[in-house]
Amino acid sequence: MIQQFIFYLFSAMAIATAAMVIISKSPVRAALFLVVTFIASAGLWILLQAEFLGLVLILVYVGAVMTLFLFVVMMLDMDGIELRSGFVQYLPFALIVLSVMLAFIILAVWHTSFGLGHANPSKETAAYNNIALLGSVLYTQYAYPFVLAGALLLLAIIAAISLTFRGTRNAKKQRVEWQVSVRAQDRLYKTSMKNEKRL
Amino acid sequence: MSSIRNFTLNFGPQHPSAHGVLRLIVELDGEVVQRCDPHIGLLHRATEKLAETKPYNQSIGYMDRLDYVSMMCNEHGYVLAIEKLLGVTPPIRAQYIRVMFDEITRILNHLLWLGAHALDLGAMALFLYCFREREDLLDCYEAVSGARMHATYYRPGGVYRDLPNKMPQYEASEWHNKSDVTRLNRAREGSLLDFIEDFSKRFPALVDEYETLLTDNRIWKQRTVGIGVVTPARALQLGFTGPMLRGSGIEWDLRKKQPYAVYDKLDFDIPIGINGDCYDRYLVRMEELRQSNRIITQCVEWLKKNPGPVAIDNHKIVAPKREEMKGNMESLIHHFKLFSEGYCVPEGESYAAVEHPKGEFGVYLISDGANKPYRVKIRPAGFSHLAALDEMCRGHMLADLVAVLSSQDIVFGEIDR
Amino acid sequence: MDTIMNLLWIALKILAIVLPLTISVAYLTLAERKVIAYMHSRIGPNRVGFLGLLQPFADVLKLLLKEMVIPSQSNRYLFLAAPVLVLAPALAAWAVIPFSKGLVLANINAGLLYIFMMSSLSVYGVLIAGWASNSKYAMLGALRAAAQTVSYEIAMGFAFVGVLLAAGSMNLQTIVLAQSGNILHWYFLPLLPLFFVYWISGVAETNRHPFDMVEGESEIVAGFHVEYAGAGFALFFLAEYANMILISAVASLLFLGGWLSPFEGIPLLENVFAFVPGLVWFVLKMGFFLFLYIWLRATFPRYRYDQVMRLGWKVLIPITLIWIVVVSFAVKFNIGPWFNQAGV
Repeated sequence: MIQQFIFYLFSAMAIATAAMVIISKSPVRAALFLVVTFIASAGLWILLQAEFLGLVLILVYVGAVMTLFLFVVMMLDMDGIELRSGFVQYLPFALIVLSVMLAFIILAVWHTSFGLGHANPSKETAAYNNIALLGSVLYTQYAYPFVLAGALLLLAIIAAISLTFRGTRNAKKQRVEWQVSVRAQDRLYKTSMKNEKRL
Repeated sequence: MSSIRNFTLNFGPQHPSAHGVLRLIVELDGEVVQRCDPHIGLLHRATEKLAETKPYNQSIGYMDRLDYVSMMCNEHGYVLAIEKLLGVTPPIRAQYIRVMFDEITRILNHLLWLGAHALDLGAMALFLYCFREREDLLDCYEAVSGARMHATYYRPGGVYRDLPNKMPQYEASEWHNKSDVTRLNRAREGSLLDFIEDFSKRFPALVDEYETLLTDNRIWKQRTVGIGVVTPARALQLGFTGPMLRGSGIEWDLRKKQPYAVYDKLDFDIPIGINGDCYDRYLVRMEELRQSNRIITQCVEWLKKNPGPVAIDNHKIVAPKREEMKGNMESLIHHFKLFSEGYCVPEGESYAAVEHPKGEFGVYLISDGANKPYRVKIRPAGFSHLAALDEMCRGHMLADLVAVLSSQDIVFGEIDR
Repeated sequence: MDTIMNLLWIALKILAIVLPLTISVAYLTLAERKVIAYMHSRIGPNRVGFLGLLQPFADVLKLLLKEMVIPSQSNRYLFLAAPVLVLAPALAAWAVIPFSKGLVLANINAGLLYIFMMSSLSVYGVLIAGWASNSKYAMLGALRAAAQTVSYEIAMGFAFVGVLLAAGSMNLQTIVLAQSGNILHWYFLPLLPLFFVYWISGVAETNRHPFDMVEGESEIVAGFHVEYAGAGFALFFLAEYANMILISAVASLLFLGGWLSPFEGIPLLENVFAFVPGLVWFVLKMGFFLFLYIWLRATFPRYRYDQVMRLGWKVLIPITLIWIVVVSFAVKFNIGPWFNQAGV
């Protein structure tokens, strides 16, 4: 019973905040609502006993991706009003796209997932270790796509840096290895100057 | 692409660091300083103008308050300028006392500089350790003149009075019980010279302690090596003096090149840096602490062996002793003239410079024969250093600006006067 | 009925963790001031209560009674929510920490991942605090703090991966039990570089000295919490110290054997100290790390911001990468007394 309560709570949260992402006036608030949506989805996944995926969702999406989104949104100080202009103009087109997508989703999952016969979530034993299971598949059967995904991320990093790098500006750089290796006795010497005549 | 403008930051007059009132307008590109513009004058107290309205001896207190962390060196510069015009030389014991207190002042200044520099860069412990050592030296100032900081001790013709035979001692109170007090009074059982001797014996070990905290610390090196580099030629062109100049490799020290007082009789070395960055200046000042200690030891030894007068006999310049004044008519008249009108200095102009802890502190005095100076012009050491801040900081980051500023050892009392 | 009893029991356990934690945080502030003071050859607070022991209460009272100033143009709800967002993950992470054998609130199989997740969530509070303050300097400070936290999370994560490889599980109880036997079985020996990397990353994550550029430097005054006064500031403060205690706890669990006695395995001494409960050893180890935090603050100069980033990316991450390869070889070929036992 408590599981049902948690399920309804998290689903309601996910749907409500997802709606708020679109409705919200300020981009920062929209990003924050998206964060809550992710957290709610992660809660649902944990209910399905996929705790690794749920935690990794929060770790990667909320902890990294949305942080970067927030950096950009906060720095650019975008005006929400300008983004929202043209709502009525684009409404018919949006409705068409929406109905097409909905039709596809329903066609894909109707049979297998909806319906009262599929109401119970899977119940595994306490020894179910989905991390180990994931790992045993990911690094053997799907090793090649995994490495490819890593290479793709590296490409994205390099592309982002090369797009934004403005060259070494008028900045004096220090080489840390040289700095740390200097010795005090090499930088100072003492001289007993001879006294000149008094004025 | 939209235009990217530089970001202007106001490094306001109120500073967490112990430099005084400096308003720096810093233009930044991201984190890199493009330009930095110091606005000074927030501590201007019209010292030079006030000196024109007061007899010579009454301005000595103003000189103390110029560079308020190294008091007696400022007095020394002013007093030397007056003595040049008067044509008098203080007795040898007075000169030794002056040298000893100049070096004590140098240690005071460098300790405060070290504490403030370390505090600006984050190492808080040194600030408190340095102030703990300063306490002993301020007790020396107090024993000899009555005031912990602004002593007004030097006079033209010598010093105010001879060194005391007893040091003030701690007494048992609510916060210190008897055994604490015995421990605290251990060095204060004898005369002032014994106290200073005890300090100079303890001091090198303490400087070693401070060096272990910072000199080989990699974080310290990363913050100071290669920061604020000044080439020797540029340092000369910018008008640097003192440790700023010696840190860049120029061998120039007024105590050796233009000796005054008894510096030519004493044996000490001058540390010279090589690269001209903040780290070298730090090393130069640390070594100067040790050399000052050496000079103090020699002075204490001489002073213990050679009693004598500490002011010249000419009572037209130096006030007579009170017992004399109360018995002798001539002394009474001298006392009256000195404390109402003051002595008159012959016409002329003189410039006297001392090797102040910050550099060359000079006083240019023009007299027109009256009891007040016609013009007193003070040449502070920090003024040229601060003027060079812009050039030293360009291209560095904002955190380096703080490091360079505190490495220049700026005190606003002498810059704004 | 059963579920309600269960929930009540869980609520009681939560209280049993949060209450001592809050009091420890309060006394940690006092301990910091006293320890730093003694290192500076002065005494810390000693007027409020005997030896200053009531000082934290005085501090809390003062902060709560102050007026909470909310900047006029700022977003009011976000402004007030930011300190809570920083504090909540710091407290929530304690749910998986085992204090002794079997003494844990939630013994989940992904405990390590959960802790990692909570530390990455605390970045949000910082960002939102900076944004909601509607001040140039707060925003810059918040961005810097967030960038620093995110960078050091990677190094910390790799250190976790090393421990995960060595122990074969993310369950914190299992990790501690895998170090049992002897003091030489503790993971700080085979994973020494990872231990140092974890410790340095932990100090950088909590924005403590010598990595406290974001709040200690004179140009941005207090960084992202410059506009906070009163209760908001108190919560930030609390969150910082709770994070410190959390990092110390995790360091003791992962590398110093958690609640295991250091005299385990030594025939005579083991029996002499057998009466000491595991909780005491755990607290002592945490205390050692907290003392290290305070000692670092009292002694070292501060790093410049780009030097902080360079350390995280160019020094710590390569070290962890190399050592993970070493550890994986060690585990695969069962090298040493640590990996002879249960493998993955």
